[in-house]
Amino acid sequence: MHGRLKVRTTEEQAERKRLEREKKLKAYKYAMSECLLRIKNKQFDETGQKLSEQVLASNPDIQTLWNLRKKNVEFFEQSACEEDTIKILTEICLKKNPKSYPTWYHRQWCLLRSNSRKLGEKNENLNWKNELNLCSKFLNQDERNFHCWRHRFFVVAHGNLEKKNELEFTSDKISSNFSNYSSWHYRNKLIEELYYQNQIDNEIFKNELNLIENAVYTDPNDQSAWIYQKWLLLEHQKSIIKELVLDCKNREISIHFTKEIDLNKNFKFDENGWRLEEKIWKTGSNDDQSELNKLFENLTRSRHSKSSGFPIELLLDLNDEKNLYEFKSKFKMRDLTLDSEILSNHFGNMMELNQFENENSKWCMLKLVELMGIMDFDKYKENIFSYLDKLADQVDPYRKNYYLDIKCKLKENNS
Amino acid sequence: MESDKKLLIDKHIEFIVNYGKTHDQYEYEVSDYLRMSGLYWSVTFLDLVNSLEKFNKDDIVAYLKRNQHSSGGFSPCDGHDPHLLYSLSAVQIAIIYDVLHEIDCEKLIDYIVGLQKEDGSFAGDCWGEIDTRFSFCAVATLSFLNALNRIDQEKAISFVLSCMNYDGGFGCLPGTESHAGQIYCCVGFLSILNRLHMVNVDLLGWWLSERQLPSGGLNGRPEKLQDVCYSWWVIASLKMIGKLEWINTEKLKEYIVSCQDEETGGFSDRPGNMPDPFHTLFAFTGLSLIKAYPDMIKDVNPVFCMPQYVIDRAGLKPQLL
Repeated sequence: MHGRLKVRTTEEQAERKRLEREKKLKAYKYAMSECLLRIKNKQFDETGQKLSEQVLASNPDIQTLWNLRKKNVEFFEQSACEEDTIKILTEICLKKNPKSYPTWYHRQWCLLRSNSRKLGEKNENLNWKNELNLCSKFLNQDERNFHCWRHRFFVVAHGNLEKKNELEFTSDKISSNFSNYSSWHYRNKLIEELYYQNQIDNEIFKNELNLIENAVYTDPNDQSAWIYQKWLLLEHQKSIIKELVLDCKNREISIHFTKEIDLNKNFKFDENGWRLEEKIWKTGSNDDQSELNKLFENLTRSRHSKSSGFPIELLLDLNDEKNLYEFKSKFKMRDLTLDSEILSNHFGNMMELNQFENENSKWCMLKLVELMGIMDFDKYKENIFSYLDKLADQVDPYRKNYYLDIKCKLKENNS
Repeated sequence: MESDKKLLIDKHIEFIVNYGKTHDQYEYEVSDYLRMSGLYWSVTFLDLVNSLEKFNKDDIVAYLKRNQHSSGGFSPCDGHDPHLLYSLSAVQIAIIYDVLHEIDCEKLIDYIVGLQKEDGSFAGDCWGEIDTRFSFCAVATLSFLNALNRIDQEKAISFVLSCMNYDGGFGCLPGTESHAGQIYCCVGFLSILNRLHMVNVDLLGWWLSERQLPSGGLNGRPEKLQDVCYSWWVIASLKMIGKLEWINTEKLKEYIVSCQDEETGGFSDRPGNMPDPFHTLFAFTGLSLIKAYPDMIKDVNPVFCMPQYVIDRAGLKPQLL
């Protein structure tokens, strides 16, 4: 029971309510036992449909009844029209409980079923856009309903809908309310995907920083945009390649990625060569520089691979044409986040905001610590430590140990 | 130490023991569809406060047996369909009572193995809904049955990791938003399979610690309200990755205690709301994990949400950082 206030009632009210409940209970028990009997006897009929509908309309979480309805649909090989009535029921149920797992799933099950039937009959596709409108409607009521967001991903994926329009949708959502972490989250997923597909370019990052700045100026205490900023500035500096092992003798390179990579997507190598941090290099026994360069040259000339699945470890045999592929986009992304002009501009703005907040804004201070760390740790060392101390002791003592741990770690890593 | 006096343990025990009898009958009957989990919440609570004898063990064993289907899975109550959620609850109850031999473990293993999909994910039942909650249910149940080797663990891990987000958290499916309940499931899953090193501990630990609000209570996602059950999802995850000290546990204790219903017993999500067994269990497991009333509440295991002595007796040692 979430968010249900305890209400006091008079005796008379209580008695009236009791009688009402008794009646409801009787009706529920009857309908339920009839449905369960049908499940037991594998008896699929109109009465089962009607009774399960009655019960679900006021108790949408009873999964077993949704299952009975699925069995009915399969048994009768129901037509698309009847499936629409099923969808109407799910809408009634979602109004009753917009967070009902089995109701959302039942709707998806019906959609997939009618989609495959329509495709089979070579009819026109389902109207996925209507389904998207339903999501927007429910998100208007509760913009953080993660069940509805999940349904939205499902609709966009299965309906093959335009991701750029979705990016627009998150822009609208965010500008109408900056405190919408769900939208920021979705935005992150969309940008990553569109970027890999070369549908958006580096301009987007400047744009994102502006959006973040607008949000945090509006409410510096709201976490949503600040966490998103951490992704934009920090997470992207991490290389996607964790370890690269060269075996010069056998002319093989094995690459370990930090996350799963879809090799079927457009993942390219920068013509200018590898732009990796020194420390992630690991060479084999024969690490002659000219030999390395030769290997890279080979790799630069290499073309697309046909490997499928989501490997996190990959072995490249440079003598084998079919293993060759391109890398590019991730490295461009890294270059942008390190653009010093954009970064120092952002840093200046955050300093200004912190001053405006009487040098006392938790999030400004935390972000300044992160930014100074990226820009020039040695130069800002003392400021970083003093901000962390202030956060721990005065501004945000609940998380004191976090700040102290981070301080320790920074000291160790930079000693 | 004033708050120590305020925890009304006897009232809470009474609330749980009488829940089906004194509570609104309609409300109770229409929650039939989750009864097996309700039973797990109540049994675990009673064991934690040394009152397991308040329930009749034979009745419970009979209930478990009656609800195991020919497929091997368990239904929440008589006549309903089996599901992974209730299969885990059933096994947790059986483990607490040490009566695993009373159920058909081989069939249950087959049921769970049959729900793993090609991409490593798990469906909740034969109708195919996928969710990382079900990945947790599957491996938690199989670890009690000593049958983790029966599934494709590497694929299962890949799937859960594909649900990791930029904030270090996890969603229910790839691409979906991080949520403390889901994080608990995914971190617990990785703990059982000994893969906690795949988690970005600093990032996730920080995000989780930001769930604590000025009231001391914890929310499940940024800019949401605090709720007693989230205190469990968040701190159990923090405990698994070794960062429990990143929040203020004294303030958390005050918040949890403020959610007890002093008239009827039981805990609600927030002060002044309706109490229920779900929030009552998670209030106590939360208090146990932060060692708030060590003399009154037994130690809880953060991965399985069951008394630690039970997990020791079962011989399980999930990974903790």
